[in-house]
Amino acid sequence: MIKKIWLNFQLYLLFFLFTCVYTPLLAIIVIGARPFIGKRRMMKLFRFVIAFYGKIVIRVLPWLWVKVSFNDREPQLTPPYIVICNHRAASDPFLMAVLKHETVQVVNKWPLRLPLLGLMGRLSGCLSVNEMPYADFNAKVKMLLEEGVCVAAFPEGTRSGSRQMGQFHGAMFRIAVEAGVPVVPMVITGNEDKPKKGTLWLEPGVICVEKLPALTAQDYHNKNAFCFKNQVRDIIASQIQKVER
Amino acid sequence: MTEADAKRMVNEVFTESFEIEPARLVPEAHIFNDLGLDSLDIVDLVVALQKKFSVTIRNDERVRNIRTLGDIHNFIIALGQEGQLDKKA
Repeated sequence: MIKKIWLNFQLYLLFFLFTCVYTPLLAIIVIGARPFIGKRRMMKLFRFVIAFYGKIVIRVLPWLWVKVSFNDREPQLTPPYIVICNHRAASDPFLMAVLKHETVQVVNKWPLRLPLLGLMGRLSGCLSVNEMPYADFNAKVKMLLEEGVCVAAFPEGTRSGSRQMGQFHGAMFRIAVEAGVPVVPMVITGNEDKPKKGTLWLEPGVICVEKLPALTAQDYHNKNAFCFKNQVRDIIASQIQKVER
Repeated sequence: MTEADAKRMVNEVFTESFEIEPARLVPEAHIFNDLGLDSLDIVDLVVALQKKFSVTIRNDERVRNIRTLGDIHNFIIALGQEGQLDKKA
């Protein structure tokens, strides 16, 4: 127990220090580059440095006791695409750093209200699905996809905090059906206690992230958004069952 | 239209438009938590019910109080009793 307390203390201390050092660096990079590059390239750069921050947070800071294993079952997939993940814990948004392409996340209200992290999220274009009408959300996601940016979402809408998966909201699936872009189911297991919902306490262990093969427009052209979302949910649920049985 | 017909036709809307297995279509099923519909799906559901029963329900205040499949059954049965449903339905 004392070891766990020490490891948690160590991780949060490193996390705090790294964030305090990295954020001003991020600001310098972005402000320094702004006069020389256009807005689109600027956003790409900004998202790249944020993804790098995420990689450090998930791969380096907790390396002594929380390992992240990533399996990309379709590495040749090219953007844009929509990533659909199950959602167990607050570590999930950080885990999106495993994705190699420029990605914007769809988040709830509260992560964008966090100090520093929330600001980074807003500046990188994270979409707060509950803070805008569906029509605006739809238009923004489609604009990102047209720019070649991937969009990652957690359609359960909130952390399950357990191995149970909630019902999916259909907004992203409606957009996918309209835009005809590939949808990538991504399965995250092992992080229901990293941290446990309602606490900051992390348990040691391995988090497995598995990016499954994409479903293309041809795979879902005869389905409406509701049926498609249930198909994706079934794929994720089935993979979770395989991993955790 | 009998009450049984109304229930059967409502259930058909769920199986045809949402591909929900008939076994899950019990009156106590919550349309959000158990059947997995969300607020956007409700719009599709209303459209599908309107088409199935040839009736306009989108402005009916009672729609707002619907929570379960049983509530939809009762709502449609009530519309039938009020003579609002198309006789061909």
